[in-house]
Amino acid sequence: MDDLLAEFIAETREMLEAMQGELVTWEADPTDRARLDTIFRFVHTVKGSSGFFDLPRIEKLGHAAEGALAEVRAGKRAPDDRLINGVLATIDRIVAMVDAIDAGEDFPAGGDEELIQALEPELEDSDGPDAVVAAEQPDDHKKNIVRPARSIRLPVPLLDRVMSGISDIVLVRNELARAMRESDVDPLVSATFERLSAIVDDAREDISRMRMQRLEQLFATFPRLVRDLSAELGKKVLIDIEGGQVELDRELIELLRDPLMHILRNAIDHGLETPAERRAAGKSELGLIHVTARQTGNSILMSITDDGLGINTEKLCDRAVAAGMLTAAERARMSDADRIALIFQPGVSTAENVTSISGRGVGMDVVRANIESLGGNIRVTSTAGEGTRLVITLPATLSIVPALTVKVGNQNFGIPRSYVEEIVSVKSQSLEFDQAGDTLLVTFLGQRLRCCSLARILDIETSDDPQNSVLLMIRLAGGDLFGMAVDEVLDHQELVIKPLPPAITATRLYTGSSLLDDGNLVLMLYIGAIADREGLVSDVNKASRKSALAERQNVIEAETVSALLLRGLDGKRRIVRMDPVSRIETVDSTAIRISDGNAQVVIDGQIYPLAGTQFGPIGEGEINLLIFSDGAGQIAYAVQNVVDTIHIPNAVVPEVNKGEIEGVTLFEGEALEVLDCHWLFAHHAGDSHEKISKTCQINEDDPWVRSILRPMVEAAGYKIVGADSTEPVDVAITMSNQPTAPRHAGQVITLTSDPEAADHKGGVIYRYDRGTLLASLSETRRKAS
Amino acid sequence: MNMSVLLVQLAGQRIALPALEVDSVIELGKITPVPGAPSHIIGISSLRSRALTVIDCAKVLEIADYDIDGTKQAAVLNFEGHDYALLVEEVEDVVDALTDPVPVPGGAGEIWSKISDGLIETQVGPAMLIKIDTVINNLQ
Repeated sequence: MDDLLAEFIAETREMLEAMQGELVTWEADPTDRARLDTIFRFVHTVKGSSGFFDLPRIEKLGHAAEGALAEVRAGKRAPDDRLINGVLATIDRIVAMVDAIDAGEDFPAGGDEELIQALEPELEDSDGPDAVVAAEQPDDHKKNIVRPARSIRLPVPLLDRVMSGISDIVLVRNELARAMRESDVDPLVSATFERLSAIVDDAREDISRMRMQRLEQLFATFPRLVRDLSAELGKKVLIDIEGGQVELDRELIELLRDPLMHILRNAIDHGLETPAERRAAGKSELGLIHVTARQTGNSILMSITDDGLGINTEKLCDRAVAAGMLTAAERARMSDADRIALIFQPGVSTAENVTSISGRGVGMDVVRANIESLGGNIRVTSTAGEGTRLVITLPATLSIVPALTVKVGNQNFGIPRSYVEEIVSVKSQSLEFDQAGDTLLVTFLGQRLRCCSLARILDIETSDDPQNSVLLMIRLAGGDLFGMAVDEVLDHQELVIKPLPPAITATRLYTGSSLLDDGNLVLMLYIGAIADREGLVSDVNKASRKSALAERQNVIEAETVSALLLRGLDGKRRIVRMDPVSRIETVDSTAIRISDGNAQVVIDGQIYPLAGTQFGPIGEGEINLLIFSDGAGQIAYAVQNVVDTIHIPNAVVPEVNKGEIEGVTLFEGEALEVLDCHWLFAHHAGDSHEKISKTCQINEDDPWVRSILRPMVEAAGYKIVGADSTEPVDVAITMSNQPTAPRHAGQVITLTSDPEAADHKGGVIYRYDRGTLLASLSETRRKAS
Repeated sequence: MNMSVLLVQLAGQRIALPALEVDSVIELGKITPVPGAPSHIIGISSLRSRALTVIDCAKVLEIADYDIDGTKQAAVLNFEGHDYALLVEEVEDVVDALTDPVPVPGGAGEIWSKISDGLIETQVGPAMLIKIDTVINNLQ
């Protein structure tokens, strides 16, 4: 704790030094908003840190100054002389107190109340501000500011030069060592060389350490902070920290400290609910904060996730509108992601009560400013009622990445160790592989996982028998697990990553290159982007990176629809959306007739087409059927039984091949197939529809159109006409990303993947809005007939 | 005009690179291929602790018939913070340009007009002066 305190003192002084000019400028022009904000951030930061170090007097002063400045910022109070003097005197006193702490002396008691009072709006009979300020300027308060430092500051470029110098030395040493092994050398020379070599190794280690620090040192302070804050606020909070072994520039760690503290404070104060509220919301009383750090090549990815309330975007917008940052019209146009991003605006906060911990609308704007000044970025995703996730990306130049070197063909590559969950030899362990279409699946620890081959991804020829290959189990930041086949795992090394030129990084295959001790270069693989490209990042995993990558997508994924979980005739669980299910029937197996792959069932004197029979034989006795209805016709679907009513995300992972399965979705950790009722109707209920007479033109080059849209349109009673046809059609459906409008269509419907771009009247419809699309199609059909 | 140029040979053609932009001329060591990279990037190679991106000048200039395997000489330069090695057939010499670059009479072809500022005269004869940035970005 002493180290931290020393840092707090050094930091406060440093900030103040940088701020001296700002203070004077502000005094000269109190309306200067930028200066005001800077000063405000200073007192806010000091207040925050002093709360953490249990320095109640500084905290109180900071709180008072912050309060007064907040009123000025909000325009509730004019920055008059009294207030300015009060603020300046308070800052002076904070500095004096900090000096006293540094000197190990007790700061004389008393005097704080007067200052705090001086910051209050003027009362009738209070003392003039000058009196107070004068009393707070002890003549000798400056004499103990300057103390000899026990460390020196070095410019980073100098360190970089030393670092690359030692790298060169090591390489030359290695070369020399090789040359000496190959020739006869005097033992005396080789002994001397060994000594030199050892010294070089030590020096290299020290120099590497000069800049690097483990995140642990920063993370170590979190549990205490969380404990204290949650106790103060009457909340129960558990913090879970991962990735403390990640090393990064000491400089970066220092600069990260404040932003992370702010974020944690916010999460505990505003994000997480009280135990009672959590109980009422059906959550565990214990709020969870999950902090992770991961190194991916040249960047550090940190995420802070809480399972609290989420960000109330409505309230956020209200505040922003009230503060004059946003007009009502702008507000209406904003996407949810943009609304969430409002928390980064100065002066916006959704906190109901201003507490001593946070909630004055500083914090997130400071956090973002700090992180961007480090060359990083910060993104927020949030789901109302479920929590908030902040992802910070930071560059880690010259960072050392613990990595595995792997061999594919005759080339070596590096993979960050943090991604690799396990290394499995295909030959020595009895792994079960299944081929599903073009996808290879492997069963690993009871989970069926997708497999990809690095040789295929990089288009490298490999002569090795697949049986000799090694499977790396890769765990992505979002939690997705998949297998990646390589020929051989060579070594585990700490690699110094160097950046690659833009032409190579544009491939999104590599994050950098690294020089091995033997002088060979290896390319560091960009696992995140590769997984993304290979479609290995699951769409439905809520905690996935996907939401951070495509924030807009988040909204769509969060939408859930109710569905039936059923067991097919083959005993496999499948899912069907609730909408088309009209009822559940039980019939005797004698009512079912199967011929030439077509099946029918007689229920109450009516013949229904029967689907689902290809999965398994119809047994004797009672058969459970689901009756689906699309409004016009009905079909029956044979199942073993109905398991449950569940909720699934509306966006399922579409199946490439057109068929009975619309796609897969994740339920209870298992990927389950979702039945495509539109396809079922198109296939089984063709007869029950009116004679097809209307035509619809679609472009089937798009797999989504082919596999999802087409059956839906067919089910609505249209004959499909290809995109290249020039015949007049009744209706044409285009995608918003294919702007070419067909010329001979009675009506054009444009589908968009952006829910906000949809305007139901003008023929622009969100692509997953089945209801509107079907209504539009049937309306056109009616009009046309 | 006071300008030094590095004269190199590429498939029998004499080409001039602005000498000020070239750090050094080296014999390249092992080149590590970069799968998936644009075709004018042969790979990466190390020069002491620096990683060089090796560019095949012949590919950029679309000079087809030339023996890449025997070619190891390269001009090393730093462009926008990254180190590159421009692979050439043979490095001749550093000489002074005697004239400013002038357009080739009758034009030099589409690629050359993008990549070159024009023809310069030197003591040993005329040479096309190459614009480094267009070579590195492969004309883009």
